[in-house]
Amino acid sequence: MKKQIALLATAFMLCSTAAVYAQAPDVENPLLKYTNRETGLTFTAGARLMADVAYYHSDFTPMKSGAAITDARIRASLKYKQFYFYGDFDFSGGRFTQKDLFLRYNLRENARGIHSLKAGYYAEPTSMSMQTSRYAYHFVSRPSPVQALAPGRALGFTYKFFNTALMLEQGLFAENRYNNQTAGNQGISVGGRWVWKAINNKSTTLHIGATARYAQMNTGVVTNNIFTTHQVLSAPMQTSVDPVTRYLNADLPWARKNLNLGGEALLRTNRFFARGEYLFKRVYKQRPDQEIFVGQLGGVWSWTTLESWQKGNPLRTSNFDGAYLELGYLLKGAGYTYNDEGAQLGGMSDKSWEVVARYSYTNLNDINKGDYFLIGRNQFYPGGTVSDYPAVSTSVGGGRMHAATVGLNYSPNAYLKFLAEYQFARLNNVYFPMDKAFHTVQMKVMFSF
Amino acid sequence: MFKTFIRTATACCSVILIATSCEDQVYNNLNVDVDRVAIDKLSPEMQKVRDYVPKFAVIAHRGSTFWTPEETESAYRWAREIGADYLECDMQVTKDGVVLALHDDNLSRTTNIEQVFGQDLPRVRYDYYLSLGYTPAEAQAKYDADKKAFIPLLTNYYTFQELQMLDAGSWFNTASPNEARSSFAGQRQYISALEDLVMYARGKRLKRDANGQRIYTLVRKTGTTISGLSGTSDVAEYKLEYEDDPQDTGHRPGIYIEFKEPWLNPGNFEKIVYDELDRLGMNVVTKPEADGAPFYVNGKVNVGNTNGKVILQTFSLESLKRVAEFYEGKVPMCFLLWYGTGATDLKNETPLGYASFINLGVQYKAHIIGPSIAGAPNNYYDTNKPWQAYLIRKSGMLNHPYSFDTRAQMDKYYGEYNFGNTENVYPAPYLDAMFTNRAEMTCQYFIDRGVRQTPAPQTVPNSEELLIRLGYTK
Repeated sequence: MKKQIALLATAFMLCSTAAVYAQAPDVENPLLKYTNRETGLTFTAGARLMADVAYYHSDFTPMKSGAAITDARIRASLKYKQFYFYGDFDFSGGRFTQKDLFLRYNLRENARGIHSLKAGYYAEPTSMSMQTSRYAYHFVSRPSPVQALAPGRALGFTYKFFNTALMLEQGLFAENRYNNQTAGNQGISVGGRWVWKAINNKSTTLHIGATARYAQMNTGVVTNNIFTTHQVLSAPMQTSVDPVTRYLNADLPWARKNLNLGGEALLRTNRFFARGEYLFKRVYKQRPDQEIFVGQLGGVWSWTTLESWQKGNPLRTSNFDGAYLELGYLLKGAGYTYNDEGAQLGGMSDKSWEVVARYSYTNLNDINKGDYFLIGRNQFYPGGTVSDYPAVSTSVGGGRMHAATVGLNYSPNAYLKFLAEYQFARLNNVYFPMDKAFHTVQMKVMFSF
Repeated sequence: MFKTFIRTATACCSVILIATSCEDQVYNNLNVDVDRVAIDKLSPEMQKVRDYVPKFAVIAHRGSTFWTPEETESAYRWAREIGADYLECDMQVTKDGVVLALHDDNLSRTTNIEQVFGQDLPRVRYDYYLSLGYTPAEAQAKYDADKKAFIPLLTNYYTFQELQMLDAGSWFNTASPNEARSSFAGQRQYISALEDLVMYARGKRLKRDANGQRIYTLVRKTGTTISGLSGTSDVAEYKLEYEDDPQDTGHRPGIYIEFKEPWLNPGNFEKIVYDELDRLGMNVVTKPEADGAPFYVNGKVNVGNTNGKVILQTFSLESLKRVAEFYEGKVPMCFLLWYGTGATDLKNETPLGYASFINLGVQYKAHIIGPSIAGAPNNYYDTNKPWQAYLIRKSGMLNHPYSFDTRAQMDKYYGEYNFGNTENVYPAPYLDAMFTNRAEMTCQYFIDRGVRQTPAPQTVPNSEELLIRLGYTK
């Protein structure tokens, strides 16, 4: 019985620790912290700065090497009983950007786990990487497949349950955070992340998980009385100094629905971590064919039947995917940690050195077999050869990139981190036929309190 | 340890920043990229055909759009006598299969069709069917079918016989009052057939009756059919009559003929033209001229008697492919460029995009690139900038820009102004010929620069005097 009580107590303590992590994702003990013992209210305030320097070498289209402030945030949190409020704002690039802004309420906290409701503006729970704070990241940038395929922050609410064995989070989100779309209704998405921690103790964690998300996009514009929607999937080259997304960029007119599916795994020991994700995204499209067809009638060159117009203007769903595998080995310092609430790897601890490596691939190409691409017209041609009209291909050439990264990181204390890495990327993008190899040397300093 | 790391990190950052500031290039530099993009080159066989075409050729664009009603007898006679190397035209086909030398697919600009036929199917269509041998009932049925499918003003919906009822000259007097001539209205100008063009190049003119009407005969239906915009129709045979032009001075220019967008013409239009050239003795694939025949003889243009007597041209990607299929690169071919958003236009005007069009031309056996040029009065987009001309030259292709109207344009693309290109990064001239509406000006321009040497003609007739000599009076 004593043993069972001890286990329960340990589990509860782990949960409590995890809750602390979630309250302050960047640093475990913020420097500015006020606790009113009478009311039980805790207030924290803090800031975060990231500065990067990078040198790029590309085959043909130059990237802009240099230095940049890539993150400059202030944040505040307030905890009162079961309530927790968090706000986070970014000023990097000289622009104000709203980041996390949410309220969480713990419905029930007991030895079996914590049930909570969360509402506000924050990352949709569909990717392990996106759930992890950049300050806790072990690389200069998140992997490109995540940036391209995983949803970011949105306005919504989630229900979460977690304990040492499980993390289940699912929710409902709005497409447009301010409801200020030019036309259309505010779209909606439903999704979740579900993680089973097969092994989870102080020295080792092994978790596997799955994610799924379905989104209905209703935000668009009206042109010539036709409601049009549009989606762009893009990612930078795993760097922030020149965050151009032209190399990995899929332009998807008429996108109306998204289906995201993913799988993840994480292994952590004191000295080693390995984690990875596979992400798949299907983009369904919807076009008001009848209205467009009627709109084009009346000219000598008009299509005469809806069927012929549809045949000349084919439309299909597009599929994209990506994956990454990240490895780390701690040369010196306290062991790697694991955040139960977020089912995430923790950041570097005090006085630690680590070497890291990553492989990622991002596939935004969905090209029909045999299609020919003529860059002088930026156009795919079905059938492997050029033609005049109609020559509409349903191919999407957003680019495919394989990237390998090795890095060395150092954290003198919880408030300061240095990251340095070399990255080689191989690109296959029809719009950049002469850009194949990208070499990047980059360093990042992160400061948070 | 910490201090060591800070020092190391600072050193690394410094190295990166210094390396960054010493970079040669932080943007795509046109002058650098031009030499980095891959350009395919003409094969030796293709170069041989390319050399069928004289350097610094004068291509009389539609005969002349400045002095005469375009693509009519007056335009082509004038261009021949002024000493142009090529008489240029666009090609379309009539409902009954006659290949035309005609630019506009809508006939309202350059003819009086709205006065003659209005918006209706010509009533003469019924008689036309009778003359092809159909019974009255059959003729009526065909007439009714034509009427049902009829789209007014579009060339392909009319027979050659109907088009010959139109006046293709009078409009010019209204559109260009300074160059107006009563003869353009009084001496009937017709929509030209390709056969007419060939005959003008051979020193002929239309044979006319006492009323000044051209003489031709609808002979028969050939038994074959043609499928175009207007549906499937009988191919008719016409006998067109010509006579020696008394004003012919012996110039024998070639013809420079353009395939329009395929959707305007039958799917096998390139083959139809191939056969028509064969019939007219202009197909050098089947009937080549002697190798080495001179472009000029005794001060006269002789291009029409060489293997370069026909140059094909098109903007169309599809037509480019079909020409390669039928002509196998054995007839000089020009791939025309236009920058814009249309179905065949160049959209990406970077060196990469431009090179891809050149390479497409090489792939599909073109020998010439025809870029558009800037400048009044047309103010086309300039796709013949010095670096672009350089890429064309690099491929081994000829550069035939279009279309010249002014001396300023000629100076610019010949390299007189040289765009401030004082270091001659891209050596001038930026052309190997000119599509010109002012053939007289271009001939003189090339003569003055010594690139049109004896035995090419060294004098250019006065245009107005020539028009009068040809019978086109004010």
